[in-house]
Amino acid sequence: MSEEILRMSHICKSFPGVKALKEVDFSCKKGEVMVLAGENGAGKSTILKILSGLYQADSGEIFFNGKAVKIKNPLEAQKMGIAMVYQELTLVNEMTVAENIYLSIEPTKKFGLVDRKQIESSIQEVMGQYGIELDLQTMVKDLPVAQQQMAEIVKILIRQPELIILDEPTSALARKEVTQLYEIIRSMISMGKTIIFISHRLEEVFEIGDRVTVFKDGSYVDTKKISEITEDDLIRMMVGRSLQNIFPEKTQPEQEIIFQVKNLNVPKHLRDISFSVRRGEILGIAGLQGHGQTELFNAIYGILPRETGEIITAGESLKIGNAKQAIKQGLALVPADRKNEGLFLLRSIRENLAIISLDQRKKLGIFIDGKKEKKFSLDMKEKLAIKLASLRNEVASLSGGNQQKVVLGKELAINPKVVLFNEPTRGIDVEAKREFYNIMHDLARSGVAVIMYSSDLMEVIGMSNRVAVMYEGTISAVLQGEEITEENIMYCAYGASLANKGERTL
Amino acid sequence: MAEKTLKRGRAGNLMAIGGPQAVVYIGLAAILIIAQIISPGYLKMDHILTMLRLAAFVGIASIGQTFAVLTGGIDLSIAYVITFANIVGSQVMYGENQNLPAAVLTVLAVGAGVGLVNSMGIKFLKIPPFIMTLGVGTIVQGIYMIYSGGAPKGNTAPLLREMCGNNIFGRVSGILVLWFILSVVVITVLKFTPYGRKIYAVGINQKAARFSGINVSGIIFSVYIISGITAAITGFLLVGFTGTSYLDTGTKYATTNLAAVVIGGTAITGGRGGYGGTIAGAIIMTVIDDLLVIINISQAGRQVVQGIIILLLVFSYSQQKKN
Amino acid sequence: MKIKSACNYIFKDKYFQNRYGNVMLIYAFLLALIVAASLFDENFLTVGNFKNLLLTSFPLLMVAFAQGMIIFTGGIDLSLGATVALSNVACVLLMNPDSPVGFVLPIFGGLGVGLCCGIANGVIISKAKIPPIITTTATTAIYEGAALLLMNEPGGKIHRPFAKFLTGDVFHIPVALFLLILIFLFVRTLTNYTPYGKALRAIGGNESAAYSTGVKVDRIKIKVYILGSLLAAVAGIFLSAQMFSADPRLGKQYSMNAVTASVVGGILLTGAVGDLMGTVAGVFIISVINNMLNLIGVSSYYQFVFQGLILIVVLSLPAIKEKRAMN
Repeated sequence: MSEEILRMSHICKSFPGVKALKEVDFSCKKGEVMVLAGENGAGKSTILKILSGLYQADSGEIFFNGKAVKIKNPLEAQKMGIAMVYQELTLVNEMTVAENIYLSIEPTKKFGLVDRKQIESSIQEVMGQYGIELDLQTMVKDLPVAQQQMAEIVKILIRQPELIILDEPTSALARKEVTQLYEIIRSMISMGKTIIFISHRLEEVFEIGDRVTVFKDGSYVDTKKISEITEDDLIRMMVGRSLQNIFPEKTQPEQEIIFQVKNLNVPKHLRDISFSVRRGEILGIAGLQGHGQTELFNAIYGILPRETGEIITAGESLKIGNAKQAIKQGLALVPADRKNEGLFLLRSIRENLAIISLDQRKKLGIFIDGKKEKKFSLDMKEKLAIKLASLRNEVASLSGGNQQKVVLGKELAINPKVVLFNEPTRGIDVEAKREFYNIMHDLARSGVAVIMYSSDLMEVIGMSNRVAVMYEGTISAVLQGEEITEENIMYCAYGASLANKGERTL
Repeated sequence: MAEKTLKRGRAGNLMAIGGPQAVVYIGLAAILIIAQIISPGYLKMDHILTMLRLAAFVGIASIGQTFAVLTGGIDLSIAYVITFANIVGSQVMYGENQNLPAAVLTVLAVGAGVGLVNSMGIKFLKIPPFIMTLGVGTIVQGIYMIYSGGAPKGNTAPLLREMCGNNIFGRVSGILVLWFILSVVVITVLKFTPYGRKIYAVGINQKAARFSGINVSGIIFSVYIISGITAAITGFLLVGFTGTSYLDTGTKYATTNLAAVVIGGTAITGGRGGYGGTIAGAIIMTVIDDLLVIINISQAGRQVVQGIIILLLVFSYSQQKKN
Repeated sequence: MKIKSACNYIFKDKYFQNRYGNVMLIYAFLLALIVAASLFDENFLTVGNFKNLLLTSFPLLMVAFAQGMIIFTGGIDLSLGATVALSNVACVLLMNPDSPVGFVLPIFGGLGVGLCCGIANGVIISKAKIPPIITTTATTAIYEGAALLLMNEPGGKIHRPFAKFLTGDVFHIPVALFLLILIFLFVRTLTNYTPYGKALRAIGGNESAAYSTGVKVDRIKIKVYILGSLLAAVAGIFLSAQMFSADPRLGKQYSMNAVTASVVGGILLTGAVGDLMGTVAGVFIISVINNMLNLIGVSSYYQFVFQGLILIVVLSLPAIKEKRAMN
């Protein structure tokens, strides 16, 4: 039990502009569930991708089963007995479940043909062992995400690795499937396998882990036995301070309504959404992932076509058919996927900041006024405290937090009346988070309607004056004041209404 | 030599940004030096002007390609549009100056029309640019074959021949002047107007461009229409240059127009590079071709060398990016 | 017996329906086209015309198989046509019409040329990471130039018995048909039923997923470009027999027509999806249309227009379908 299966020492890894791992150590023992915890951007995924052969470390050593090893690609890792379930699924949509599970290790019969019968029977056997049910002949693209996740896990199991890495495998799963996954993990352990589990959900760490290693900002913090620590200890290890004081103090909003959405409908995504925001207020949106939050923002912003729905600022109904019109009428969106939706990574910081507001700084009617643009981008850099070497550098060279500030900066350039924040602090460090919270707070106080969705509940609770909880494309409840608790939000996020809560618990 | 100064200035700028565009001018200088060694007297003004005049055709034809590649697309119909415009232009002109305005308008309409069809397929029918433009190219080929019956008619108007000759402005050809003006316009548009910025934005990240309120469809339409027009202009000018039209006028430009863009350091994935590099790319392609002629290499051999050079340069750019 | 079981394996495929249902549709279309053609012209439905159709389609079939396999990986090879020309020229230049075995060296020569072209494409694309379009545009110039260097205009001498055999019959069945069936069974089995085929499609579907699953991406890509060029070489060798000479400029249309045939045959340009079975129909659809146009006496210029139109129409179907579904 106490035999060490893996030791990684002094691992360093840099990406352009970011030091992802700084001399990090990590090890685990045979037969345990080692949880790797830490905030987004702490380097958890990076170190495990080095272990799985997807990335190469800049320096450092890896010992597996006592031997020094070099892992040049995923194939080598697999051969050694290391397999990883990545956050981004590694399934091929256009192939069947069975084909995906056995990809690259297909057994053959004569003429080198794939032995489909053997494939099916051995998958069935493994699935039976772990109590998993999947239709093997379905195309992966036709499966719901949760089942895709299961297929991914079967794909790992079939390769019979000694060491299994699971990178936030529960983020796409409903509660029932999470329980099933825990079962699978336990039976894997009972078969003598070792598991490394990345998570930032506290309850998960305590439910499934034997030991926990904490990373913070690319450095190793500590390793502890789960049985010997409390949730508070863990938070302190992860965040470096207790969570309470990173949010600015909430202020009382005024009565005046400055932004309103009425009867918003988007086929297949949103049903009868209505809400309003008062001056000085931050409206939080909560709910489980995939219940229409992103669609709500995109629909307001004109990216997703609406069937019905009125969008009103300052008592005036807006005509929004695309993002251009939305921007013109003072709406701004900080999209969830900063790299794909927010930024032009390979262009300069200055160009990124300027892109939305180009038309405001023209000279002779057609040219970009370089001087004005430079001043504008310097001002924005000051205002948002963006840490950068030169405005001419590519945005890709910035850290996550500063990239996110550039996204916000390009939106703020149009002096928006409404700002929609979709996962504003995903993948950025604590300090940047705190700055972001202050900016949001200041925006709200200056009379901008601020609406924010985050999958991080603490954030929603810490920031919002009111919280609208979404469930299956509708708003299932709006909570305010004392009602805003983790328990209440989760309760509504599963579709129950708060009014019934009392009866149920009774 | 105003063009040279312009290039120097741009090279300085590009150097600051870094990347392949600066390298391509170093490459150009190296090639010119080699040329001077192989064939003394190569760098004489007269010869340089002759070279630049030839490069102008490639240069103008690759304006549109630069735009298309910058948005992350590609236009493989250019060679066919050149031939089409060449044939239509010469037929409409029929050797008369008075037909020139009609010829110019027809040719521009032809180019814009092909570009419009390309962009509709790419944007509305969601057909990948390379295959859409290849398909449209094939159709254009069929159309000009049918139109000309396999035997193109007509010839250049004297005025056009004059312009394409070698000495309209002193010793400088009208074509070269036109290329220079177009270059200034193109570089200014790409670098200093909102429209140019948006082209880069679309090329880097279409989704983010849409989220940033950029009219992505509009940009893509404009780019392929511009490409059709610049190809048509090239085809039209070639009537003046050769005096008449041929069925394979465009063939030569099929590889060179794309090569000029890629050699010029514009990333084939879109969003990086610019016309400054393409100018050098066009000159490099022309000088190399010319040099190979001087040392008696056949057309076929020149083609082989061209292909190898494209691969080597593109490879060296991709290595540079890694470091 | 072995062949029978292999055939069973292919045709009694229980996933055939849901997976390759599209192929059925394409064959139905081909059938309809043949019916239409025979109603239109009584000369169409003759053994002679079909033989003719087979012989003229054979080179394109080879190149289309090649293009199809390459498209499965999400790539494209625009130099296949030039490879056809180059191996055609090499094959004819090596012919010794006077020796009874004077056709052996040319065959290996032609294939050797194909091998080299394929290795060059594959290595540049997968190791130097230059996009397939750029790589194969450049290598097109090189291969075409090389063909012209070897032979600047059509000509050359052919080994007569060899040419007669390749384009002739054995037991009243064209040799080309035997060859076609053999090669088809090989490439289709390879792409549909072997680990290699699964890997091809996985790369086309999601390259990074394939890589992190342990697929040897580079090696598989290099192999597919080699195999593709070898098939192009087969086309080149066959053409030398068919034309009784070599033509350094003959290759041009093949790359493009092969893309059209693949697309018409239901292969998605985005990679992973499709079946070479459909490609066969795709090639014959193009050939039948050209054949009809010839029989009616339409100028061959119209064939360019038709081919371009077919390509664009087929490729626009998904977008049109999607629009319909939305409304």
